[in-house]
Amino acid sequence: MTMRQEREKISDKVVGRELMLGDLLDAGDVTPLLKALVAAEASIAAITDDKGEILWIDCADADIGAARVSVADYVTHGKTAGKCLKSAPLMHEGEVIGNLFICLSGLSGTSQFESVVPTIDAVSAALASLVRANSRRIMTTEIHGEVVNRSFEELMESNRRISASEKKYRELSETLQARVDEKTEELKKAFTRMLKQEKLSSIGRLAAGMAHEINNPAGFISSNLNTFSKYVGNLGKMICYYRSLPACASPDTEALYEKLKIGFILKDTADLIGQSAQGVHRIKEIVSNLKDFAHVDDSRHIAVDLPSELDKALNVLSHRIAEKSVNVVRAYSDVPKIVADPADISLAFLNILINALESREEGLEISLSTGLSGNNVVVTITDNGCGMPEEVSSRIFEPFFTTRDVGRGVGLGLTVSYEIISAIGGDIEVSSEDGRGTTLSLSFPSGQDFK
Amino acid sequence: MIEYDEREKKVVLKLVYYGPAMSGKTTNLLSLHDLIDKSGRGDLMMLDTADDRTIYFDLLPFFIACPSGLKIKLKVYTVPGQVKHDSTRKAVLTRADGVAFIADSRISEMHNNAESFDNLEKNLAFVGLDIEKMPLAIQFNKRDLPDIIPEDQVCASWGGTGLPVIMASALYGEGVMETFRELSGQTYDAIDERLGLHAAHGLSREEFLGRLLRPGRQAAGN
Repeated sequence: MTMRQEREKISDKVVGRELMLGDLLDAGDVTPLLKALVAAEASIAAITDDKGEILWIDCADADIGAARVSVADYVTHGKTAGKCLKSAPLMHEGEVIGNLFICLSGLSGTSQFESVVPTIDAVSAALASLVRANSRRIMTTEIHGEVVNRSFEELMESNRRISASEKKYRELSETLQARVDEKTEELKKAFTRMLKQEKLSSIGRLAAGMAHEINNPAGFISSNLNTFSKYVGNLGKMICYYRSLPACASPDTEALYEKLKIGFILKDTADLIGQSAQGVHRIKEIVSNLKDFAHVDDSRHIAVDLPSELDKALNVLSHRIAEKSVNVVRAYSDVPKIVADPADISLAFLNILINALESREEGLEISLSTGLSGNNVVVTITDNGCGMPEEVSSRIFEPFFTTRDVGRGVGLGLTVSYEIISAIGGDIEVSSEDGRGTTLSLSFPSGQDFK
Repeated sequence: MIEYDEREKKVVLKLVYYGPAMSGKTTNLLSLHDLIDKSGRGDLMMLDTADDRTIYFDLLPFFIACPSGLKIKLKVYTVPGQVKHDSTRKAVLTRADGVAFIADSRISEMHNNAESFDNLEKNLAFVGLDIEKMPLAIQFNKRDLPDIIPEDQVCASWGGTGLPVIMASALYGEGVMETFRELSGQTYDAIDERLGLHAAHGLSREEFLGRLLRPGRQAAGN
């Protein structure tokens, strides 16, 4: 029950409502008193309310109708023809709420009244005390009833509230286990992702550190090889000069020259040095790719050029690409830069490319393209590998889902890619057919400011 | 207003004496009953008490007939002060036209006074009455006792509220009439315009207060 309804309910029985004579007296109280008056020589005894309506009446003869007329007459005119009537007011709360009327049978008047005055007084007093007692009883009963009702309703209300909150807690406790499980699962995934990323970032830091360390020796090897190549050239020239001098020309010298294969050495030394220089150059390239991939110096969320990130990821994988003679087809169109962490994007591409590389042993072709679709930059990576059935493609982003043999993959690669791309508001779509290759479409919201 | 019946030409008003337990609400009504002539009032009705403590309420009714024939019934109630009788207080407070708050002047009772006043505010709101618009008189009773809060301090703390504060000793009839006069006057002001007491029914404020507060013969003789 609302407060308003409760309030309206109270107002039906507001404490202090006016009590009328009809409320305060009933026939059972009054009749014996009127009969007593009639017995004490009154021909008519009646009680009227505050408006002069006759509530109760009794008379000596049987003609109640005539008696009513007499009383009504008296109420209206203050007297009644041929009869002597007297009235006494009935009081309640300082107010006249009715009258007691007495009519005597004879016409002798005052003296006759005097003889019944004690009876009239006694009846008046009895009526007054009845009115007092009844008003008291009615008020007490009413307020008591009101208070009991209200207390009952307050109790019912608080009972309803308790029931409601109990129900809420019961429901809560029922779903609690499920919710705990759900949250635990989420936490587990997040923790695993974090571990994976932490691991990758440690590898990145390690790679960056190593790259730095390797760069220095590779640098002086490269520089020394350069110098060495000149020295060896000079030495060769000197040997050839000595050999051409007549003073040195002797069969012994020639024999030694042949024995030591100096002619071959002079020719091969340049090749060896050239190959070494190439090797050092290759080392420097690998180191530079490692550094690029680790993005050691980049701050997070900058403008990222997707084609160059794709190329960096391909560079990291270049030895495996070469090993399997993969045909890589690039179809990059001019696309705006996106806002992201370049290290994350590299990682996302890398994981996808690793999967593509695993999809076929021989004759693998990987096509990369970039383009625009509405406001999104779209990167598609297609392989002509083994593909996968629907039940696999629908699960590839789930953590720990892997089709590789135990120990060869943990099933997190594509999960990480998906998390990275969805974190910047992008999306990945898979389309694949079993045995006929796979296409992943990655869409990124374009950073308009960096166009 | 308990009721206003235009056809019957009758208005029934309700004033409530509110306050903490044992602050002298019933004593106020007893004193009024003794001080005021019985011609304009009914008898004091005290519903059951236990150990001198009101359980339901006390009622002192007054009756005035205007020159126009409009009958005004003014019912003055006390409420039970004890905390546990809150339902009764709400019931009695319903449709009240004015409230006299009877505070106990003893320093030890200040906390109870404050609590009871909070309770009054809360219950007025509950029964849909606005304390800001309600005729309200504050009485600091029991000035005859020792260890009471000094008058200047009372005035200092209540002065800001703009509410009339009356010092009283209900047991000796002091301040009782003043409190009743103050409350009745405010009540007249509050309903005069709506009911046209003066304009339509020929009952001026002075006449209203004069009729209500007519001193008893005994009191007048002194």
